[in-house]
Amino acid sequence: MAMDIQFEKVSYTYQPKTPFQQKALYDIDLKIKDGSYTAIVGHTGSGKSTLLQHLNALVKPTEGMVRIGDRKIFPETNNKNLKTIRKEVGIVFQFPEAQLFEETVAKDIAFGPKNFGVSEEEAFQLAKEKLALVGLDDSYLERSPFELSGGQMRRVAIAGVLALEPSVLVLDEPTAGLDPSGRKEMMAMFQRLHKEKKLTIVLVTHLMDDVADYADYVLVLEKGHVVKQGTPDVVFQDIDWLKEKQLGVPTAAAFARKLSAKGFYFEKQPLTPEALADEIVKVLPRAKKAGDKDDE
Amino acid sequence: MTIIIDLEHISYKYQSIDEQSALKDISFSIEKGDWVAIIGHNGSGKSTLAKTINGLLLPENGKVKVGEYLLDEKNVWTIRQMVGMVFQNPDNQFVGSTVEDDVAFGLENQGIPREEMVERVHSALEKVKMSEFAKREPARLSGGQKQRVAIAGIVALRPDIIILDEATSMLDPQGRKEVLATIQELKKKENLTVISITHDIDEAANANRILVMKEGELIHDGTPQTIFSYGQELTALGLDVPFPEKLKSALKKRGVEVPKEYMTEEGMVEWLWTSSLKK
Repeated sequence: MAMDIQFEKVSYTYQPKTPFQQKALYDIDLKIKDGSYTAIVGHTGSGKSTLLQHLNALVKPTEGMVRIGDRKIFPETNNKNLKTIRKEVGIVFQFPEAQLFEETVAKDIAFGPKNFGVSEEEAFQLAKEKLALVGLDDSYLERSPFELSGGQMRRVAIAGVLALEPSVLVLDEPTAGLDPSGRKEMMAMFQRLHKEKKLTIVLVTHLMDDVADYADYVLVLEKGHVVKQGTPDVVFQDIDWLKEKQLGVPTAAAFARKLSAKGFYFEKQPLTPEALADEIVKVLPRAKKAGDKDDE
Repeated sequence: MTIIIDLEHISYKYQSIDEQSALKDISFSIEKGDWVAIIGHNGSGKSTLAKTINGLLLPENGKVKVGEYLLDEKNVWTIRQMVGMVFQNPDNQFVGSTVEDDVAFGLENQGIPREEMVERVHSALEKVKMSEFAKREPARLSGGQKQRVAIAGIVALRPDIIILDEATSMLDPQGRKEVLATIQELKKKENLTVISITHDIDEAANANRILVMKEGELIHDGTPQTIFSYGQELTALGLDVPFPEKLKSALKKRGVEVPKEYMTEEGMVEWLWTSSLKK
């Protein structure tokens, strides 16, 4: 089943019809395509977290409709029978390691599937399999999750979400608080899941370099509304706009702009160091020998 | 130049049965008014090292001297007054129900008279630009604002040294900027000595000296220019690779001869421009 997720005129109001009512999302139209790697960017308070919770019907829109696969969620949709959606769309919240609770890593990962009626034996098989998928070997299965390092705990928490075998994996700032090499490994792991397991990835992030490196589609949220969307090339086209919104710009694009100010000309705006280097070699004299041998 | 922190042959083990020492024979001194960044992989001993400076951990061997005080049971309280620490998670360090109560907590502990306390809380909040939030609940602030309140709590105690233990790592880019700008300004005005334990290249670039830790040992000690020129190796040391170094290695792969020394972004732009004219 293709797990496209689509929002049609979605609005969400917290505590509606009370003096405390607060509109978190309004009039959102968007589509997250099956198999895509979609990034959601926006400031703290722009509505990202509220939007995330719509992706697996943890909340229902107060107006409009969310389509998740072949299920349609309206404001009046009954809360029963939403469980299958939560299995299809797995959300990894911020600092997910805070949610670990079991005695052993294996039990923690198996908790989800067992809740969905999977047998004990099968659940542990899943735990073993998913632990390997997040890059930890069998020796961790019987250890307490609380004696692991922060990065390892986070991997275990992610394995717990993967154990439900979702087809969409939603990640809310998954690398926050990790050191640069931990961040790199974690992002490579998601890329592997995306490529090899064909998981649809939805990534909420502040790091524009990650968006440039991995995403194929970007949604920009501001004050509860989608203000821009498209491929990274399109969204990062207007650097002045991004700066004005204080959203940050991929480092390579910002650097390319400094070069343009000097007089460099780029046919296509580079978003990654690799793409920038490709553009630069077009105008730079190469090292004599290395350049001659280059067989590109 | 006055030496404000002096460590001599510091060793530390978390448990006496541990095979590995968390710190192995570390010696260095820091001058008053310096901004020193300590970098290193997770588990390299950076935070342990910082905690020995204000006596949160007592070293197994070696001497710690802060100002004119040798760290021992008698001096530990004086030293803690001189060294303030800001930790990683802003939510774990609040005790007060309002911002101003929270900032006042440390002063209350020291028995500062009320009048002076009010004055110091007020001026500390001013310094971190949080005065208008004085009556607010800390829980309702953004991450960057929370860390600024934590810093105000320390500033109110008028320390000589402030240690940032990954204090910006849980913040969004905006919050990170706010906190660093606050520290920069405080450092200038109060002649503070700053030690920042960090994985953030921009934070490390603020320092005038970088110490690199690995497996409990101090393996490098140099200026940012020197340390940043290690290029790709930096990832293994717990820092991100500066963009000019990333670009250099991408260009090298494409057969371009690139200078070996560290270049700032501006320097790299200049160099690329000049090289492109030679064609």
